[in-house]
Amino acid sequence: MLSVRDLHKRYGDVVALDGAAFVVSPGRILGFLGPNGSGKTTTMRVVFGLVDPDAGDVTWAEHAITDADRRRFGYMPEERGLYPKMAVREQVVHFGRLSGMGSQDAVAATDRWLGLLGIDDRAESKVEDLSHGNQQRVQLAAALVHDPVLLVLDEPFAGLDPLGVDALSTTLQDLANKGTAIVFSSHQLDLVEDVSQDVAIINRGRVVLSGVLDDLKAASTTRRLDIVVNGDRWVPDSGGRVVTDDRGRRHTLVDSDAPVGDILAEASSAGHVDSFSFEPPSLSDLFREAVGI
Amino acid sequence: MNRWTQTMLLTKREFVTRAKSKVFLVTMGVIALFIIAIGPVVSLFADDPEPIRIGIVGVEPAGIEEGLAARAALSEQQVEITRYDSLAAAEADLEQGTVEALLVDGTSIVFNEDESLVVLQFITDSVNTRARIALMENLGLTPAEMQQLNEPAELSVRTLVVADPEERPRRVAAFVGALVLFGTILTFGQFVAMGTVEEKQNRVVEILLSRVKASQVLVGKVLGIGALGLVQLLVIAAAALVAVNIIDIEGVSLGSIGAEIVAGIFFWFLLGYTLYAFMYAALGATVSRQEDLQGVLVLPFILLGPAFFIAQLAAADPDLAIVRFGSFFPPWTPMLMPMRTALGSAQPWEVALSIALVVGGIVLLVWVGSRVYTGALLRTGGTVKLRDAWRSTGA
Repeated sequence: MLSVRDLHKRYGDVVALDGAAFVVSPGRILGFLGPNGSGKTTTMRVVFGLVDPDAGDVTWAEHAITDADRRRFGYMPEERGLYPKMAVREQVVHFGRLSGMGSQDAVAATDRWLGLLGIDDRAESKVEDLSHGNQQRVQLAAALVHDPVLLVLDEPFAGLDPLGVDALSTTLQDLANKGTAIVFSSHQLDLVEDVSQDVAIINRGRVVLSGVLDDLKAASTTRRLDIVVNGDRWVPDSGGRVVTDDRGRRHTLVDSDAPVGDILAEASSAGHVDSFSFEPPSLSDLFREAVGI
Repeated sequence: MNRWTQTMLLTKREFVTRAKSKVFLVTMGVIALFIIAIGPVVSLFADDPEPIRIGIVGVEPAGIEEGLAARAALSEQQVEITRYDSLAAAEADLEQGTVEALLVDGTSIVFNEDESLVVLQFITDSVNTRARIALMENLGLTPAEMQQLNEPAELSVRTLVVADPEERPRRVAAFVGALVLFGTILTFGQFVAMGTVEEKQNRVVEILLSRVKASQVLVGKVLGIGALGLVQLLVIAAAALVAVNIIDIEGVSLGSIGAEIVAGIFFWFLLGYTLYAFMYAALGATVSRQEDLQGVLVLPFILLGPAFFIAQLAAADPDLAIVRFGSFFPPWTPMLMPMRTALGSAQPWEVALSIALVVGGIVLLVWVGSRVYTGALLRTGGTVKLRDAWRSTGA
């Protein structure tokens, strides 16, 4: 289990982390969410010893992380990086060996992952000759080649086409089923909702909400009203908070003890009610609430 | 898997990927061919002394051809004789420089512009000897008596300062050795800086640092590129050996001079390269893009540059004060001390002291360089100030 506890980090006057904390367990996938500059990357870098926190600590299996532990972790940084002039297989083998694999094991694991990720036909190509999507797959292979017990992926879905997104989701699910602990950050909240069971939301360096996604939804005192009247999205005048999503659709957030009957009556008087739902908030609602936007 | 094994993996990658690059292989081939070519070129100029070219016109003194040949043999020279029917044709050739002087009617010598004392003496001797032989024949002397009279007196010659025939080749070789050191230290040092920026620019450094320490990346890079430098020096040494075997200078064993200089080059490359490589790595880590690299690469160049000029002075006189001083200044020692050693100007204690100073410099640079490198490696977007990089690595 990876425990990130109360991390603090300042760069001069800039506060990067101000109490970042979460837990990832084996076999679980944690979605790590936060606006740009909220401290996601810094937190991940602390896990790998790339940044020394001013305070707080990170433990693996209840002990301070050692170099040997880190070699069993897999990391895909947000800033993707590979040697452009090195061949794909040679490169993945190199990273496998740096993680402590023997030569034969590294080659076998590399070939297996290149096959699973569908880039085995490009094994001898130089990385710079690959498409962006395929480079991303090589990156993933480099993070996975040594069968890590913990996988930390910074924005792994960024830049992938829908097929790539599906393939990566399946891969992560398979790894989790085999017991790998996985943390990934993303801006795509729908995706996080689909892929992860746990979430941690960070804002201004502080984790403002974390836990099992379903529990968080259930525990929320907010409810989401999705109402369609006369074929159009409809919001009541009687209160609540109107939210417009990325696609311009409106819904309303109200307290869980809101007078649902009265709202339905108000909708009926406005026209023909096509659909009416009153349910726990979505992840994006929780996110908005947590980061105050 | 211990740290050393990881570092060796990094070393191997640096060495193999660069050794496989076409640019490196072609460059090395060109350098080798260039060095080998020096052999025949030097031999071409060294083996063929120019013959003395004399034109003969008008009445020809009897036996003058044998006389000229005998005189040439005496001073181990060659003579080339051209006969002319008319003075005009002979003078035309003289003006063209086809011949150096004309012997006219056996009584006068004509030069084009400047009299050459050597040629004048040469012709005068030959004509006089022939005249004397004719006179002796008229006097009825026996060939043995004539031989005796013509025998030149054997004078022994000595110089107060005994010139060492090896001295000049040795100076040239020592200077060339310093140039090779200058070139290799800077070239492979720059590879270290370029490799560092490359890893920063590609962002591959973050993946590396999630698996290994910055100090391992640094040491792996310095070792791998240094090994490549040794390979290049081996190729240069082998090419030089081929070239030296082509050149043949009397009384000089170029092979043994070469072996001594080459041994010095290898030893001082190890020290000099290590000194500069850590400097280059630290400087490379402070920039994020290759375009910004030139600005910081000037620094080591300025530091080593003066040694290039002092090496030229050392080739003429290795005992100059500036050369002696410079050979103890660690950034210059790797170029100047091997020259002084090769030219016999350095005492053993001086060599030992200079090695100690360079090793001290290396220790300092490994410490400073590693700290700056580690501090600057993960900082991207512009140039990191050396001071900030230094501070950001935990004190």
